Amino acid sequence: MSDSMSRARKAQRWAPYFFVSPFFLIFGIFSLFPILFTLYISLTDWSLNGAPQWVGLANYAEALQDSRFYDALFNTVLFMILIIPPQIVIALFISVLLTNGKVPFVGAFRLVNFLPYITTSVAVGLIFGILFDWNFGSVNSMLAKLGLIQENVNWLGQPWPSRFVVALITVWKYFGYTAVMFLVGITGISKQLYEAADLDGATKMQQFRYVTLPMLRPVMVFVILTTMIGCFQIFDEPYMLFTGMGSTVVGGPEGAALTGTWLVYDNVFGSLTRFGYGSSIAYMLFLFICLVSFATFRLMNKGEDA
Amino acid sequence: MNAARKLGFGGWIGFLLMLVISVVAFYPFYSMIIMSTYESNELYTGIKLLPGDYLAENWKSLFSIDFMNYYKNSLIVAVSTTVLGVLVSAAAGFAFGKYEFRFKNILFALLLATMMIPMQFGIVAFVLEMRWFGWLNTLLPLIIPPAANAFGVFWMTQFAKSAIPDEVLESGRIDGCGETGLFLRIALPFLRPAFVTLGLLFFLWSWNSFFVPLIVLNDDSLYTIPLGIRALAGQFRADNAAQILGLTLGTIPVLAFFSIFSKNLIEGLASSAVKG
Repeated sequence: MSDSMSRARKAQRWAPYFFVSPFFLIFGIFSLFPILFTLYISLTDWSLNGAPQWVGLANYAEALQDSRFYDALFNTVLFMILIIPPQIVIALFISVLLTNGKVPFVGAFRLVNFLPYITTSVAVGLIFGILFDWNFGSVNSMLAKLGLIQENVNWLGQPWPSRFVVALITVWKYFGYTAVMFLVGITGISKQLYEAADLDGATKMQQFRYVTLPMLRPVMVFVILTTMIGCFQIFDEPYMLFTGMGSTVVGGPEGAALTGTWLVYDNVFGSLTRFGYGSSIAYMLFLFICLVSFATFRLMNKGEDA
Repeated sequence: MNAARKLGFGGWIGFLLMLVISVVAFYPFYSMIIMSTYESNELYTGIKLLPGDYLAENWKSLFSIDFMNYYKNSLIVAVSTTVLGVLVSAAAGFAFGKYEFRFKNILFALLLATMMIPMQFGIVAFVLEMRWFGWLNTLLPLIIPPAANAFGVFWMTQFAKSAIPDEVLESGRIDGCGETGLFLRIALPFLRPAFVTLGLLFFLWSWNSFFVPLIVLNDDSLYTIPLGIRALAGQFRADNAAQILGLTLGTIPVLAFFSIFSKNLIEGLASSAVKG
């Protein structure tokens, strides 16, 4: 009896390790190891069929001279600036509207705004490519009808319009998803806070400013950080947009839509097969993203103390 | 009281703004469906709001290539990842939510940290690793690695904490149920509501994934829908309409799931956040 009791207790002690092991095993082999091993690769000269040659920091030195590296860095930062503010404003607006209890058809609106998120990126790239076509796209013909443009805009053939389209696609794709995050956050705010604010005579705007926004801070931090990291990852849609129609322009016109992931892809799996060099670029972008995220995190938490 | 009165002025403004945003959100999606019924050349002739009459032709050219095979590959990958991912997340979430053990807090912190690190940073080594394993040009890299999803574990942990009562586990132990039995017979049924939400997300991420398949698959017969559709560009001198029909057909299952479970999904996410 006492023997079986102790065996059961032993089992209970080991069970949690057993239960978490599949996750950490798969994670260790397929995520953690590659990230660490990429650091080693970045210190070598390694091409598809050759053996790795130790070259120290030479790849990093080369990347710092590479104008495409700076293009990717610049574009990533630019996309953060172009994407994060509108995405958050629209998502906040929707989530407030859909939780105030005054707007009908909440379920239908929620679903429709979530549709872009479930649409596969290949479709998004293709559809927007057609809508923004220079000569025959709906967007140009609509703008012309409204008298907003004199001649058609070559959206996908010029650097700044291209960047604008990529930013627009990204906002379009993720605002509904972000809205759900805020929706979840707002649903979690205690009704009593609003009742108290009501009693104090606070207007709806004041309630939003002094109750909703502060209570959403954790969600906000999460959304901003993940979107910033997401800006590094942008790849599928511009890749489809600029290489899907038979052309093979790496990074769009003049590299205007070249993102970190695309640059790494092109150096390793695309026009070149330089594993070492691609890895050094991935690592530098990784460090850059860590620094920016950390700075943002500190900045946002500082705001809380004030 | 009629609906218009109840809505009030502010409500109407909100409703109209919401309508405008929704039209913008919906238009490209709607265009996709409409475009799949036109001939490719016609796609570039102004705004289309009504369906055309070319659906049958597009259907024919789409199925003249191996579209069914792409569909099958996508299904194999997405269903396997979903089942595996949900189970892996549930097991780890059960452990984090319902047991006390050494290193628990460290492991959980590690988990949260990894939620922020995109796999793209390690992609070069990942592909070399796949080559060593002999997994290049198989579906395994699309099935096994995504099953370990930090968000999934985090989410299951929050859910397990509140959904599985300690007393039930204790009485199971008194009845002589082993720990694995507790997980399979007691924990899993309690976690079932969370499976729907998490399963949907796993399915969606897998179904739409493009970057990793693009890198690890070379063999046309293994292509998933996104890759197969992209490859169509070359085969038909960019028969865009047939491509778009393929994408529309590829979106329908996800759309159906989400329409059915969208309430469930959002409430599931909401309840976990409240409890967390």
